[in-house]
Amino acid sequence: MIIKCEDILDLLSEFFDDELDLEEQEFLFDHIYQCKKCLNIYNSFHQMLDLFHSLEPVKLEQEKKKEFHRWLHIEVRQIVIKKYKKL
Amino acid sequence: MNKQNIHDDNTLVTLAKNGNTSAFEKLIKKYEDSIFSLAYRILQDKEEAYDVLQETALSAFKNLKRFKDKSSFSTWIYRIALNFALMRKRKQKSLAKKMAVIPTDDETKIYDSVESEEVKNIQNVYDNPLKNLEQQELINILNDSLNKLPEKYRTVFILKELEGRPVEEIARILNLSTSAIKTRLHRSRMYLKELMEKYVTQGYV
Repeated sequence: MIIKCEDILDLLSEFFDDELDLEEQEFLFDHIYQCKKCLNIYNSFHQMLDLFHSLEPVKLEQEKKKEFHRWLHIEVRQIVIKKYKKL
Repeated sequence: MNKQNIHDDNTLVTLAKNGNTSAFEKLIKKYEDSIFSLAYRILQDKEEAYDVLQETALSAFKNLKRFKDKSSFSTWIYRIALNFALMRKRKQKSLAKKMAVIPTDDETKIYDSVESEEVKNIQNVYDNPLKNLEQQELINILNDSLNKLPEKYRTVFILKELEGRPVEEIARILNLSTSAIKTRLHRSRMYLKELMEKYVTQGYV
């Protein structure tokens, strides 16, 4: 498999989507390490994605979670009661 | 999503459809963190994300009968949450447009100098990510870049890269083919690479 510079964007996209098998990855990186231009492109993507991946997971605070559970418990029961009243 | 999870969900959905409100609450509690996280990533506002969580739970309960077992409950509820979050995002954007003030030349200069300070900071990130940059500062830069993406690209990027959803699931959530999702992912990365070019160091290995 010969990798051409003009294919690098598509291949990197497949790489970041986990679509390349090990052999294809090997060909890709053989090319990247020999081609400064493609190495720079790879690095730019990699760094950009790393920054986004470094964002901490977002979680609902415990107090807010309890408030939500109380709210949910009341709301769903009210909907059921209203439905039965209509019948 | 493993088989045991799907089985548990199906059992809870069946119970909930038959009027068991506790089963429904269990289902929602299982997905509340993912729903909140997705909404927050889209809206960047905790209060609004909480509102989306409430809207999603209520809508899911009212429309549970419409849920068909051929898709998974998680995909279904994620789709509801995404729609509510995107509707709010559109409102946020139109409100921001109405409130936008065009800066004077002097103000533009001030913004430019602030931006170049941010650039200087973020270029050090790769020595030790997040050490040289305040977390909030980094979040703002990333969110600003994300906000510049067209909605269809921003949504798939958030689902894949921030929420870690597989391409196949994203396709089911958005009712699109996997190839359409891959195309959007490709374009979203291209856009973001372009937008963040100035923040990432060239030639680092």
